[in-house]
Parts: sequence; structure tokens; C-alpha cells
Amino acid sequence: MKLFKTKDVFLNIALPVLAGAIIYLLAADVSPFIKNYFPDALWAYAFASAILIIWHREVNVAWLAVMFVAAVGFEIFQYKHIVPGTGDWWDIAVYSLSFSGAVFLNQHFKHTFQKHYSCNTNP
Amino acid sequence: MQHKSLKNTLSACTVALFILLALGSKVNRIHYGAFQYSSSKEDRAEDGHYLVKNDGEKIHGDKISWKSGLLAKDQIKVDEQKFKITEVKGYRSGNTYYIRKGNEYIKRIVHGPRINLYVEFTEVTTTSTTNTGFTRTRSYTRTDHYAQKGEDGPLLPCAGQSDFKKLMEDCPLAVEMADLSNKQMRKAIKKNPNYLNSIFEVYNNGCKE
Repeated sequence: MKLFKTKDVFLNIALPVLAGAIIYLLAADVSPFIKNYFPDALWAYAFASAILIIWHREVNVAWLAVMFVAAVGFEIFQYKHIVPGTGDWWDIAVYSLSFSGAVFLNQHFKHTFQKHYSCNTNP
Repeated sequence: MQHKSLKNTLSACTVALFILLALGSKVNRIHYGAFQYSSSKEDRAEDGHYLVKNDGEKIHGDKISWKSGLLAKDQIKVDEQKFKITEVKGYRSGNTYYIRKGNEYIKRIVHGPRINLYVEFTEVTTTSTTNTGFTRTRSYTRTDHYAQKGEDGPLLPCAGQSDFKKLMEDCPLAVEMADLSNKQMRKAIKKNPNYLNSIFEVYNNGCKE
């Protein structure tokens, strides 16, 4: 059972983070748009999945809302120079799509790894 | 309850980690002095002091000043004529043009038919206290750069080489000039302090040197 949760973590957290890092650091012949935003999309998906997996794939609206507000708020703070960095409205769009994607796929992965999550909640 | 508390802690750590990663990927990588700030590409025939209102009307004068802030009225003056900052999209002072960004004006350092580049200077002061109680204050000038496609395009933040390449992707020569490693870029700037400016000048010159 533990192996199944490991698979969920690997598929929906480790793999997207790793893929994003590879594209960001190593990809040479890709469109600049993809190179700049696709890694962000993968990382946002990974983090939304992390929240969902922590809560055993029960949608915790409060924490997903915190993550969304944190992402949007952070870009706004960067745009207004309150924190270092450069705010980018496209990033907000990309984060929104990725978070939505993770929530949309949640039921599918909950069903796929259902045995493990049911097992884990039993004493 | 303990289980739920652990989940809340893990969730908080996840959010914090996400913010740290986002911070790391968007930090401004262009240090002060990377560009030449003395603008030499303005049309000298346009030298003078004038405001450019939002509708394009120019108001000429001898002296321009502006102020904005929490306790100040946001206004710009040319001689004794006052205007709201939001009514004026830019102004020329001598041979330098400044564009409005929010309630302030920032300097143009590259001007051309295809792309303009602006720089915003901010004095940053940070204070830290050592474990012996000694307080240290450090000041530095932060530079933020903005590109503009066309004379009325929006200001697009530029935080590093990847932004340059994205903006000028239709000019292979400019992309090639921007696509250097950190070490190569430092050498190029040391050899030619106008190197980064010249990338934009190539783009404005029809993708030719």
C-alpha cells in the first residue's frame, strides 16, 4: 500500500518537478514561450498535487485557496516591487490552469490509488 | 487531531516552498551598470523640455519637475503649468525621454522603431542586526528594466537574458547576442559596456549590426 502512495507522489509531484527543471535548464531548441511558462505550469501542478496528496486526495478547499491566493498575491507583490522579482500576469494564468488541472484530475488519481488511500485511513 | 495538525503543517510547508521556488525563478538578474544609462539614441532634433500628454499634445517649456507619493499630490509641472501625472504619458528633458510608469517616470535608454528600453532606479536600504546587537545598514541602487514594442506598447518587465530572447525571438542575431553564458556575458560587457544596449540596437536596425 505504501508503494501505491509512492507512485502517486512520483507521478504527480516528482516527475512534473523534474520535467520542469529539465526543460528550464537544458532544453535548447524549444519556443521561448514554452521554455518560460511550461516549467512554471508543471511546478504549479506538482504543488497543487502535493496539497491534494497530503489530504489523501480529499479536496481541501481552504489549503487550495491559500495556495492560489499566495500565488496570485506573490505575482502582484512582485509587480509592485514589494518583493524582489518581476511580476508577470501570464504566470497567474498558467498557475490557475495548472491548479485547475490538478483538481480536475484529482478524482481520477483518487480512484487509481483508491485502495491505498482507503487502507491508509483505516486504523 | 495530531494527524490533522501534521497535514496542516505539511500544507503550510508546501505553500512556503512554492513561494520560495517562484521567487528564485523570477529574481531580477540584471545588475546595476549592466546597461549604458546615458541615452545616445534619441532624436537630437527633438531635444528640449516638453511634456507629452496622453493625446499626444506637446507642452513646451524651460523646466520640468514632478512629484508623487503618499503625502504629495501627484503632479508634473512644465514651468508654472501643472498637470496630473495621469494626464501625461511622458516628458522630454534635454536629450532624455521619460515615460510614465504608474505615478512615476522612468528613463528611456534605447529608442528605435521596433523596441524601446527603459530603466527604473530604486534606492534600497536594508537593515540587519547581528547576534551581538550590532545594526548594519546597507544601501544599493536596484535597477528594473522594461521593454516597449512600438511607441505606445505596454511596458514589459525584463529580468534577464531569457526575457531579451523572448522579446526579440524574430531576430536571430539579437537572440544569438543575448544567448551567452553568465561568464561570456560578463566578458562581453567588460569589453564593450554598450553590449546589452547594442542587442536592442541591432533589433531596431532591422536585425543587422
